[in-house]
Amino acid sequence: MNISSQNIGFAVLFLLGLILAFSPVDEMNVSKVADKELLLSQLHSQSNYVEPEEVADWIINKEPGLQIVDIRTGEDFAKYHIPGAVHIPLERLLDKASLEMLNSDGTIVLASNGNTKASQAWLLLKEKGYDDVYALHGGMNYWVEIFSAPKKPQAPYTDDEIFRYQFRVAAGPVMMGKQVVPQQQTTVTPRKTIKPRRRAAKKKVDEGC
Amino acid sequence: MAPFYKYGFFSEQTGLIVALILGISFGFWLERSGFGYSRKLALQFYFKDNTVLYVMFTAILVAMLGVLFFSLFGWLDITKIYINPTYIWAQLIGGLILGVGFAIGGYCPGTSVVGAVTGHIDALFFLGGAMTGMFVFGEMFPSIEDLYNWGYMGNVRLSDVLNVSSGVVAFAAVVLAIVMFKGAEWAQNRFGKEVL
Repeated sequence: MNISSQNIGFAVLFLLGLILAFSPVDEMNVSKVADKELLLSQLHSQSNYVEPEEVADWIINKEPGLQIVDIRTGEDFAKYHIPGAVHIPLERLLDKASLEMLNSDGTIVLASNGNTKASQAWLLLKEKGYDDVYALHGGMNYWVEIFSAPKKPQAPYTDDEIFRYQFRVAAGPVMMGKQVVPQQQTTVTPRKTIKPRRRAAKKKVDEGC
Repeated sequence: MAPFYKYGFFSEQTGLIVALILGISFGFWLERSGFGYSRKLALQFYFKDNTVLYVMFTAILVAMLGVLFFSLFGWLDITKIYINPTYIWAQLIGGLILGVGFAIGGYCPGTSVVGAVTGHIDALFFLGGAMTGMFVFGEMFPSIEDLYNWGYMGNVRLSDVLNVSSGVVAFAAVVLAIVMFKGAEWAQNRFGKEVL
């Protein structure tokens, strides 16, 4: 009998594929519980936070898959929330209905009044297996502060500070969902729009031949 | 437990070095497969040389079976692997453009770099064209942003969309590959002898 090496290769491939088709591949990877040590180190290095400017940038860019989750009380949410945010109070975060609302494929940004509750919610969601979750740094208090009345940087400022200031001035009206206030006269004339920076940390890597 | 980087076995810097080594070996094996030579690549489109199909599909199969079996043995946490997000319509259009460029230019982006560094003049021109294309794309991005995001589906896999287990998808991919290998062989015998 004459068996070519090509046919042996095909047979092996076919067999391996057949084994996979009848094996519990998907049941094996339910180890969705995040690595505790890793979470701890992320909390420690504060890499669980995302800066408000970056979130504003994503909103302006209509970043696909972005979901802003407001975990404050309903009262606070009704007063003001980030444009496009969904409301899930912290105590109901792990309810079935809430988890169904969460966009598990996209980027989730958690917003509370400050840092603490958002970080706690971050930890809970990470343990639930949500990969792409961030806590809004400074919370809604800081968000409102910098977008409703951005402070001009003091005299010896760096380029980065002035850039952030310009961005806050430009993005502020949209972020606050308010009528556009006339631009006050400043020594630095903000360009009409600040070209938003692409997110640096999560830049996706294109691959291909 | 892999993936090593996600589990913090090495830092981002080490990751970059690993990426460099992998990238260099990728380029090396592309060159060794003859992919630094545009005529060899273009011959695929006339069924005169099936190397591209064989090499690429073999690579895909080996990677797929490796990932799934490693996951089955518990060596690899598949949920930690980064999956490129799917923009179905945008990617269909982009794929068509890339295919046309491939057939005309005789290179795809990776192989054009391989061709350029091995001293092929046409690859240098191809790279120049690709750079120009990227520049134009970047400049007109605001006007085509909606197209760019068309059909966003998130980081899905075929098994999620078709709602079957990934093992079944893998088996289908193996069968498809074998059919394609055999089909390409047949096409080469049938059409490959025609004079261009």
